[in-house]
Amino acid sequence: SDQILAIVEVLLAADNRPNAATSHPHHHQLDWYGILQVDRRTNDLDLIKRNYRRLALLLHPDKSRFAYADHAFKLVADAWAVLSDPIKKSNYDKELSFFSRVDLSVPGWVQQDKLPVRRTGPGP
Amino acid sequence: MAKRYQGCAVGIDLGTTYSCVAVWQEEHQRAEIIHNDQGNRTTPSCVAFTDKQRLIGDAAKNQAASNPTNTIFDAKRLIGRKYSDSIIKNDMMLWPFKVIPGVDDKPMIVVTYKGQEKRLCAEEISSMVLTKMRDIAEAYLESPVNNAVITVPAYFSDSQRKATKDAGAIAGLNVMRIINEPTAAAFAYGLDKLADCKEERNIFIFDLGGGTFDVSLLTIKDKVFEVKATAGNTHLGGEDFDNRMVNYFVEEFKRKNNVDISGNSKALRRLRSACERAKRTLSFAFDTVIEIDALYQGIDLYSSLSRAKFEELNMELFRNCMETVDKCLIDAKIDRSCIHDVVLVGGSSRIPKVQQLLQEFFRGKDLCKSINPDEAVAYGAAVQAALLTEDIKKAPELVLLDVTPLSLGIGTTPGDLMDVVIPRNTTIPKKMTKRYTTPEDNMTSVCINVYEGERTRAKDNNLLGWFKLSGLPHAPRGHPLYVCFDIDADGILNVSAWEETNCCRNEITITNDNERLSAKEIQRLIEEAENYKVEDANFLEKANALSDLDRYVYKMEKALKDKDICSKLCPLDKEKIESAIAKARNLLVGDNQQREIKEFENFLKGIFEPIMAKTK
Repeated sequence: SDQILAIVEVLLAADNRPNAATSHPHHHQLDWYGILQVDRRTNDLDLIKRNYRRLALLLHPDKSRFAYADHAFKLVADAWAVLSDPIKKSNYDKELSFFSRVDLSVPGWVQQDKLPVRRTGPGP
Repeated sequence: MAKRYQGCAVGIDLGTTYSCVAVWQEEHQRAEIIHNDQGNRTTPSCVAFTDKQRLIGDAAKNQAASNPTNTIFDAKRLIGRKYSDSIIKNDMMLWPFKVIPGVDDKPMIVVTYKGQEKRLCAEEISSMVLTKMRDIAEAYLESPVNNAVITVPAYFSDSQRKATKDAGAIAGLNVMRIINEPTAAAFAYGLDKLADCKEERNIFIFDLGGGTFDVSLLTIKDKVFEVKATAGNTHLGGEDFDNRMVNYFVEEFKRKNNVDISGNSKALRRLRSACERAKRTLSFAFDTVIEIDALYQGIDLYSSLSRAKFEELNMELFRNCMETVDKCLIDAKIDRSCIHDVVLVGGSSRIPKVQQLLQEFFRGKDLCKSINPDEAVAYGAAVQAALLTEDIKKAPELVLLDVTPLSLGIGTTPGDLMDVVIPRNTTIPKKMTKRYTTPEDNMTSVCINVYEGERTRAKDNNLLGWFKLSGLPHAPRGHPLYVCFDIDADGILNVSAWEETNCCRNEITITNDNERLSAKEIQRLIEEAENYKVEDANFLEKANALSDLDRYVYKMEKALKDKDICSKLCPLDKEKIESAIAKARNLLVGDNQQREIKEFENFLKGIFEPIMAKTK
């Protein structure tokens, strides 16, 4: 059940784009902080690391037998690739502040009732 | 989701020179290395063919000197490569067996088996070694073994991995996963030595084996094993050190005796065995002697070799190793001072000079020698096998986050440049989409070539496969296209491409390109492997029958020599027995069916026993 919960949480977080207005096929604008379940723009690398490991253990396709686990894992790994690299993280933070100036109404993901299934069609 | 397997599962380290098999033991919570029928924990990756039978493992290696052209080793150096590969060309000069180009430039090994010429591919030889490893495991576990995790060097290319998987299929194994050797060794180290690692540790694995060299940098914390970077050389190992020694002694022999032995496979084989022994000795002694009686034309080879000379011969190769170590650290973006443990794996990591250079590289850090360098890889493979098996409930709670060893990308036009989509050392599974544009006006189709490698020019890399995206709308150049690379936890790559308005779409799964064996071909080879097995069994039965007959004849002869019995025999009976013995002798030297031999033994008993009864 922890595994299912983790999948749902990651997929929902991935649905909540910080710049929802532009739908670009690339992943750059995904909410990497939300996916790793940490506060936006936190500098607590230890927490990021801890959450990454916890989620990896829950979501890696070798570990989880549930559908979409691999998809959720890929998102978590992508998030880690950005946030664990100081240069990539600071670039992402800059991008993030630019978008939050344009789009001030960042919707809380809890209110969105989209199903994670939406993101599993062919191609991004 | 990854497939789960049922039944017994083992981990097999399929090495260039030696192989090793291990199984996870649930009740002991550790992996066990399985010894072979000779009591050895590693088995030579060697297959031999004679007039009478096929030999695998120790038996094959032991007769190598007397049957050099039909004793095949180093199949791992051929697997998944092309005949025209320059590496193979160089190896061939040193191999006593014959390799010829086959269909699609595939190297084929030529042997004489039971008087007939046979052509075998490297997958077949490897499958024979795998069959042997499986038999070893089955004998130990007393149950059939169908599933296995097989290890390959981290730096193996896609085609080498797939060919290894095919070898497993020919041996009748479900290959649950192909994992990287240094990663498997890290499992062994992490589980055995760092039980419940609370602090984050950076582990550097240095794996110098018989034929390949790999390094990997991992971060271990709690139960997560994360590979940060990996690098290596698929053609650097103990065999190369042996080769340098062989060349040195060939030159020396030429200088001293004015004869060239390089064309004589028997002499080379004997020299090679002596060099391998000397190399091992030099890991603990400072000098050694090489003595081979009547090496060539009745001339003995008698020479000594010091450790310093050995190091001088191989220094270039050792330096190569250190460059790879440096490259791995740069890729991982981790400074050498941040490494907690440097773990030695592979038989050649015992070489003192290698250890010294490595220690200097890590600024005097103590090297970790606490795991068995010959067995760690199989141990780790057994752990991974347990993780993928459904029945094992108490498997260690671990997860392995492995990486792609080589960059994956597509060739772009114009210029045929390699455009990387998934860079090397990316954690898998991974999905990545990239936007491209059409290079010309009104293109109706584009060809997508998928490559693997680090070279700038696309065609210098390994072509994994290609496909066409057709049905593009008429548009000026610069029309957007998308290419998506999706690689799963098993390392299987799926590439898809589509046009922006999604009016056309095409994809391939890189699994079965034409260089690989087709399903039909594999089926044929499985049947052939079955035949070899039946022939081996028949040979064994026949040999047993012959030895039974021999024993009986001996018993009869002994009775005839016994004065006590002899005096009681009438001359007619004695003659009968003598002629029967003569017939049996003929049968023993001739080539006969096992059934005939059995029948004849019964016939002998029919004559001999009533006569003996009379003497009592």
